[in-house]
Amino acid sequence: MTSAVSVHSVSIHGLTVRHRRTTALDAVDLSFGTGVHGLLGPNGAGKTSLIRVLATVAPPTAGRVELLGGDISAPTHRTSVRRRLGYLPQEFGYYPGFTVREFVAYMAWLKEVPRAKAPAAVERAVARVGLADRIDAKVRTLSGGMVRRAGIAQAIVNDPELLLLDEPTAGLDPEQRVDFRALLRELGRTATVIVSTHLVEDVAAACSEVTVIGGGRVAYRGTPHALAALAAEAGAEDFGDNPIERGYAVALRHHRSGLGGSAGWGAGR
Amino acid sequence: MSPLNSNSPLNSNLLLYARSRALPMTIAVLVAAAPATAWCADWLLTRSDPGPRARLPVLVLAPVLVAAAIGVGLYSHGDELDRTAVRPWWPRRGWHLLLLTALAAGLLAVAVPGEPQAYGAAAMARNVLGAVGVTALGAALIGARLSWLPMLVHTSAVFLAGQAEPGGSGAVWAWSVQPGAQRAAWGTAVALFAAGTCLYALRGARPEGPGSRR
Amino acid sequence: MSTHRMSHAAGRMSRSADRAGHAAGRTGRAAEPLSPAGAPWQPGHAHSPRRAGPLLTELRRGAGLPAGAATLAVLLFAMFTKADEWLSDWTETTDMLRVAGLVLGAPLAAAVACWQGGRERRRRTEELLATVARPPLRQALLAAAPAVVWPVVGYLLTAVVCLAWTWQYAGGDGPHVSLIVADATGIGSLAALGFVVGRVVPWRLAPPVVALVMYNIELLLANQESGISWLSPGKEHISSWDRPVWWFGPVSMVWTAGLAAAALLAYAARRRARALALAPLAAAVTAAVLLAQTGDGLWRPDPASAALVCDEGTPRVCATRVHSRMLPDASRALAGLTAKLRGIPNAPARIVEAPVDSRASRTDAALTGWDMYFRRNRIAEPEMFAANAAIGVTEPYCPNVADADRYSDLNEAVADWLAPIPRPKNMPGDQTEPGYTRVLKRLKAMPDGERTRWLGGYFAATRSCHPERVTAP
Repeated sequence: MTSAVSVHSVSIHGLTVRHRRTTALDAVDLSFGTGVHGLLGPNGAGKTSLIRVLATVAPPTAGRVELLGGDISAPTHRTSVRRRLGYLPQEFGYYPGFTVREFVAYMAWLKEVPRAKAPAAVERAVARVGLADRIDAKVRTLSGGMVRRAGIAQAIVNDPELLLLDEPTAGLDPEQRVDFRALLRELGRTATVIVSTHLVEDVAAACSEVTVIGGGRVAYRGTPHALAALAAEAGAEDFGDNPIERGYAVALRHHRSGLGGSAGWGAGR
Repeated sequence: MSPLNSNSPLNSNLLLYARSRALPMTIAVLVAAAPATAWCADWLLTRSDPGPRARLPVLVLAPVLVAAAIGVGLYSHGDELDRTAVRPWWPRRGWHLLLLTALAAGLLAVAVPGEPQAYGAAAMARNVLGAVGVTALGAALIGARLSWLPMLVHTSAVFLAGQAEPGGSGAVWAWSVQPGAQRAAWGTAVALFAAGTCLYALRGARPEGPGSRR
Repeated sequence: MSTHRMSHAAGRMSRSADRAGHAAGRTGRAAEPLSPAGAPWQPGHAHSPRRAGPLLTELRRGAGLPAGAATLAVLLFAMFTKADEWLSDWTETTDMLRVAGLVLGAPLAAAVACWQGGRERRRRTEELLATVARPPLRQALLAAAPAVVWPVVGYLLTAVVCLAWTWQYAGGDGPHVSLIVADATGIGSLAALGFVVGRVVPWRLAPPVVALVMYNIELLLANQESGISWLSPGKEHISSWDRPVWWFGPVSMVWTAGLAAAALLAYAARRRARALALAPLAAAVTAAVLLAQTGDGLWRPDPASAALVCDEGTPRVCATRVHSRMLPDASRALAGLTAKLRGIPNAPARIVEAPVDSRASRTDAALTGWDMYFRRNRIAEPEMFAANAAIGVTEPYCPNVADADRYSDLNEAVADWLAPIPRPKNMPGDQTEPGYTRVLKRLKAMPDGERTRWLGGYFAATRSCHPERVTAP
């Protein structure tokens, strides 16, 4: 698949994020290249904190974050990154009185998509999430899953080089999730896609690489296949219904017990 | 909550209800509005030529403020959950509105003493009743968050009519700028209050927030 | 458009049939060719896409349009209820538009703008908006646009309607357009301030509080005794024969718009550019100082509008140019009075409208405040108008008259004979003064020739301020 990555569009060194007294991320080193990357981890592990730093919403407490070839602490480069960034927050807000077209076009304007290209880009993004037949419906009239898809449409309207999706499949029905994974794979061919999720099936089906985060540190990095294999070698038959879930549990258990530690497991491939 | 209250389940339930509707904030606004109103009314009387209508702006505007404070507190965080409650909601909603209105009307009437025939305590009490009525109607029909809007629009529309002769048909539609002795204005205000209280008590505030499609 | 929508609807219906195609694409990893029906989650047919510009979207959706409609309705209603007071006079129309627009319209617009400012918090889009390339100032300007533009449009429409209506009645030069533009700017600026408050203050009660604070500040400012009162953008100035100095409108625009621009820049500009907010603030302060220093001098008497327009009668009836359209009715209402004055020696040659309360010269009788007796250029109270004109005829301004009581009895009796004050019957009036009653009786009883002679002597004496020379009738 796309494992032969030479250029890292995202590289993080010693990233620390603190919210008041709790440490969300603790000196994390990570890098991501083109492809679909799954971000797994228990609630409160720091997934959303990581995504928010990558989305340039929250500044890091310490550490260096390089996105698309530059440090985002420089305002000019940050603006340039934002033009090439797609983001779907965990709590996705929208304007209910706008139509889908208007909302996505509004986001396209905010992302400085060139004026001439915007109308076509909007229709393309909306069609890619399967909302073309509802493009002129008010967002207010859409079901929860459709709103989520409108959120994905706004994230991809500028053909982002870096796409960050925080729990994108929440509210999608099984059929829509299948479609969504196909879209992810297609996007992952040219862009760096980072998906935070609780649903390991999504990771197994769509991701070329998995990062498990636990307690603010990287617990595991590898391919979904390797994660599944981990379950077999450690013998964790007591948890989960499929190999990936078991592998996930084993990775976390190792991480927590400090057996492997982030050095051993986080070394990647 | 103090330990004293938690001994009595009724009291603690009421306190929980009060906190769920942000009542402390509302009451704080009502209590703070009274001295501010009194100060403004006194200032208006110290102007060079205080006519009988000198206090009219305060009598019109202060009820809008207290009604807005009561109105934005009429929301419910979990409307769907509230509907599943075993006890009927209407007595609680009704008492909520009645008690707050009584408090607001009492406090503001004390702030502008005298002149029951013209622009004094009586007109203030009437305006609080009417304003709360319109605001409660607003909460039931367009949501608690925007419930202040109809009263603000009405006040803006009739404000200048206060300089005209009182009485006539104006006493009905421009009730808030009439002197205290106008019976028709009282009629309108009381009718609005009754309608607003009933509708809000029976239906509650219109649901709001993301995902609300009504 | 509709055909396109239908073709996609058809595509949606057949989505489960396309499932197999997707599965094939997944295993093959090839570039999926699109099915002709337009598979879901895939780009649709090529066609010319419709543009949905962000500004147009903001203006069409959300709080702006209803706010503008509400402003229009409120202002039209308020203006309508007071129509009789302003309809026949450009200055009064402009003035009433200013009071309505800024005292009533602007707080309402500011409340709605404050509500609009809280939209990102309410809709939870703040997180998303923090990741976009467009600078925060542009974002804020776009989001504020509907709440600023539509109330201003509402005000301007009200102004157009009211001015068109006034045009049918008023004489004189026309409206003070620069003031109307300044008012529109003031409404927009106050709305922008409300918007900034809404962005900054996370409180449900913020919008109505913003409105009430604006009402109060305007009332408080406008009621100051000093020049500071002119800082209230809704301050009225009632005199039909004044006009504003030419820079009043532009400078008050700088005052309100400067404040709004400073607030917007301080809120939304990037950190380094935030100091730029000082520039509009400085401009606003300069404008404020200019306004407050000039004070009442912002309005100057306008000789052209106070110039007299007269009819052809004897004595002549003259209105100021502002009220020239009242002249025909005025002549008619004063016909009885002028008929009685005709042929009397030394009687005033003109009955004139005086802009301010000043007794006119020896040859003119003066009467102020014509608009009190008129509704839309038609006389509403002809008897009262004639009676007050008669008082103007008989009371030239004479300070320190020797025998004041006798003088006033004489004047009242003559005025009552010329044009009696309309009184309900059986109403106890001041006719009981013996001197007054005697003179009036004598006047009524005199033969015409003798009365003309006596009145000639009366006018000669009183108009030269020597009432003691009037002989007893």
